[in-house]
Amino acid sequence: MCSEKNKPGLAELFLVFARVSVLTIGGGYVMFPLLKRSVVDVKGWISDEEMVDSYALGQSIPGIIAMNTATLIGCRRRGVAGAVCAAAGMAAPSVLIILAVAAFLTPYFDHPWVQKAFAGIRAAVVAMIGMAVWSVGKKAANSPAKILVALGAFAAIVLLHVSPIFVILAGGLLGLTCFKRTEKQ
Amino acid sequence: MTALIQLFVSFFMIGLFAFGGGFAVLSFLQLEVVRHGWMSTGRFVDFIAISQSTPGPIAINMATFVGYEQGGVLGALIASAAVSLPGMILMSLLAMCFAHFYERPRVQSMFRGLRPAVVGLVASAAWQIGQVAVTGWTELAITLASLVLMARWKVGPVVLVVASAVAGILFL
Repeated sequence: MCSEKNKPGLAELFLVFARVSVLTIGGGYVMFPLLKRSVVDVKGWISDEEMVDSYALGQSIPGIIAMNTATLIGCRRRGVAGAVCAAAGMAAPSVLIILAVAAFLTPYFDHPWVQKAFAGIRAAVVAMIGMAVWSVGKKAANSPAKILVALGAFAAIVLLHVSPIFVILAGGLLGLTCFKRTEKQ
Repeated sequence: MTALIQLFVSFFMIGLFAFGGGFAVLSFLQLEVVRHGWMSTGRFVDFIAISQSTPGPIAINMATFVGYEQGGVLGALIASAAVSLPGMILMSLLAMCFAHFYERPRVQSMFRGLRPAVVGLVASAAWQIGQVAVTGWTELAITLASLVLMARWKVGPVVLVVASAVAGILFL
């Protein structure tokens, strides 16, 4: 599987992931097709199946999907050094662009027009997060019991101010104890 | 110095417990930001908007932003590295040690409970941010219009951010 021909160099890993990062606007879900094109179709570093598995694992492990997926692909091809280079490539454009915005554009944040623009954007952000809840919820909360878990998590945080860490732990425990046989296929 | 250590610890914990990617990170981050009084919720939501409409993973963008506000360039680097590290360490271990970890039945059943909890978590972030962002009928109209644009015509975040900014300047 790991033929010499498509074994990437460390600099190449960094650059390919940096390129995907620059082209990804809007987070993990947007990244998938771009990453697949670069890593599977163009470079042939991993297969289609490995790509889907990497992405599923990247989503399932805590943390940032894009960083996790980059780490896994880098690690499979070039070990820990590859993982670090791929992840650094994924993060570098983000950090540089945001630093530029934070350093040079924040003084303009107080201008009335900018304030009004942001007030409009904030309202749209609520909708964006709502959409994410809906699209993930359709797959993740696909039974009455799971909808109850989702509602319980929501109520625990909003009404009882429970730390999300406990909510996550409780969800995992519930899964281990209650969702064992219900959906065995 | 203590501020930087605090920043590292906070972001490392977020990276360790935020299952479900950028939006889950966001809901954790929102609570941490409020708890430490790092910034107002309004400013935090502005950061979300910028993080969504600039390239790269949203969580890294947010971490860079909050880190820079708290500790300059060094703070930005520390926050971004700290939020990424837990996932990277786990991933590397998994890649090297447990090739078939994900297929194990116990792991699968754990995720069946985890995922709906994440949905509730992210919904709570939408709720809490909504209380700050949707303060009048015009804002509500922008929220609803955005929902329709995304659901019906699959409008992307960049177009949505630009359109809602224009709507804000014109109508708010």
